[in-house]
Amino acid sequence: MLTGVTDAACRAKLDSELSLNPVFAQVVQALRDAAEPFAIDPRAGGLEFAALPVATAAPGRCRMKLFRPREEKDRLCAFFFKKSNIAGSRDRFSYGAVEFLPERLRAEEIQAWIAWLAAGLDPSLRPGNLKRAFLYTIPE
Amino acid sequence: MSRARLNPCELQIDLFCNGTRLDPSCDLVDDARQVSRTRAGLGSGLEIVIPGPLKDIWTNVPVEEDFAARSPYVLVKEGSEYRVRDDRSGQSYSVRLPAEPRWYGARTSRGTEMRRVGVLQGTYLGIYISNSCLYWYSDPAQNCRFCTTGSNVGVNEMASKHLDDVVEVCRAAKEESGVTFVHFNSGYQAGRDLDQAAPYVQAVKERVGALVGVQLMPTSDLWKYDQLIDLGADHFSFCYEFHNPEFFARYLPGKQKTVGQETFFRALEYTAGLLGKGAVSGEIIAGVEPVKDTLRAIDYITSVGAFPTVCVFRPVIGADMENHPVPRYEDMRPVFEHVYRACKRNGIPIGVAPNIEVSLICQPDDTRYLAHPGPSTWMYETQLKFMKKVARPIFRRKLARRRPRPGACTLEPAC
Repeated sequence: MLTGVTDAACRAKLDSELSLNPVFAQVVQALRDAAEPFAIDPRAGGLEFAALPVATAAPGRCRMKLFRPREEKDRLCAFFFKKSNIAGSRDRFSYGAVEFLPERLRAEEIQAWIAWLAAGLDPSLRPGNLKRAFLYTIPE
Repeated sequence: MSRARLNPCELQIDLFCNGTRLDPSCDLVDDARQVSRTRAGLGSGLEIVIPGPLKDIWTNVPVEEDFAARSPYVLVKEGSEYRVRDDRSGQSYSVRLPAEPRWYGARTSRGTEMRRVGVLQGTYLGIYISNSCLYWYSDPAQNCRFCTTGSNVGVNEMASKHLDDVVEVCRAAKEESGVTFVHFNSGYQAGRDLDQAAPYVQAVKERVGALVGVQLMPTSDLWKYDQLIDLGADHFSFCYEFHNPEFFARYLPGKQKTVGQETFFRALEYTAGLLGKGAVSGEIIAGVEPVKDTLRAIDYITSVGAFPTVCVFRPVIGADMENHPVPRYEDMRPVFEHVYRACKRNGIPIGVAPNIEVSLICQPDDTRYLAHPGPSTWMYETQLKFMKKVARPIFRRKLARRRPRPGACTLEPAC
């Protein structure tokens, strides 16, 4: 389930990101349908979701960020990371990213991302097509 | 359970093994260096200084990893002082948090935030010069299994480092933080490793003036080391990580496939021969391979005149080995006791270079706290004091800027 979507800032964030990248709506819907609770971070760049209770990490630490790496390209990206739990730190602990073309995004793929996120990004459950090194900068 | 009070080096080792929790009384935003993974994720911890009678010990303490949340240690702020409290024994240790350098938040003339170019790890400046590590781009990935380099560049730090940015950051670190040592490292660059480092080495020597260390994938083109030394490299370190060949192959598939353990050994021996005792290091990870192999590594490294840089294995968040068990203090203490013993036996100068404190490891001169008293220790310590005095003018010269050399900076085989 996706919590806090009625919050004005979350609503505005969702509207603006979905208007830029309508395919993200499929992910939003899958998160709404999920058994585990997730939240939107309206202050983050791109469209960022936090898994709320994860057995192996503090609530809200495991995250997925959807964004377009390069404005001129169609390719989109789902970036998985843990947020620093230190006050004032902007560090992100990357677990990798899946790049995808909007027309090729499959429901099973989204389900695998959500399950991984909910499992605390256990390295043994990584999606098969995960890229772990990038030549672009990931927005904060 | 009663537990003896630890000396500063023992506390450092135990903190590497356990990490620390952070009490809500801590005000890290105002009091500490920001925890930063710049430099390819090597330093994921909180920088602290453990004061001691022989020397203060700089330590990068794990705080982000899950095991740190279960640590018996907790960092607390009492008034304006910080202490590390051990909940097992009730012992409490005074520590200092080094302040964040002002230049971290400054920008270079090109507009790059300086902290995204390089960071202090202890008292030296560490800069990851290359555009990630090519092992991360092969399919299947050949990355070292403990490493998070590939997944950090572009996420927490600049993907590529402009030479002028690097020079400005080095200058700021020297002028404002008193840095004497700049350490360049990089991941696998398909044989171009030393060539890529050359312009940075030369620029720091000529435009800043500092001791320069280089930590790159080794090459069998040994002449390149002569040329890098000619450009100003003062130190080489070789991260071969595991002495046991099976562990080397299992956890370092890229290094095994493209370089091999022997290339590390030949480069280590060659550069130690060129630069003399104590100028080159062999870097290994303790806590994964059997301790007897780590002890063999220390014996080998010191026998060729190099010093051992022993990292306590840290299962960094996001690494393939994230869920690998953390080492036990009881296993690690004898390793560092052996570091001192082996350095003493081989007459390796430790703690001689000015103001180089490395927080990510227990460096050889930190292990002086573990030395067994006796005539040989007294003799070695006396030699170290003498060497420090004699080396002072040499280091002063090395810290001055060099006269610029004409022409492009490339490494070419001699005719």
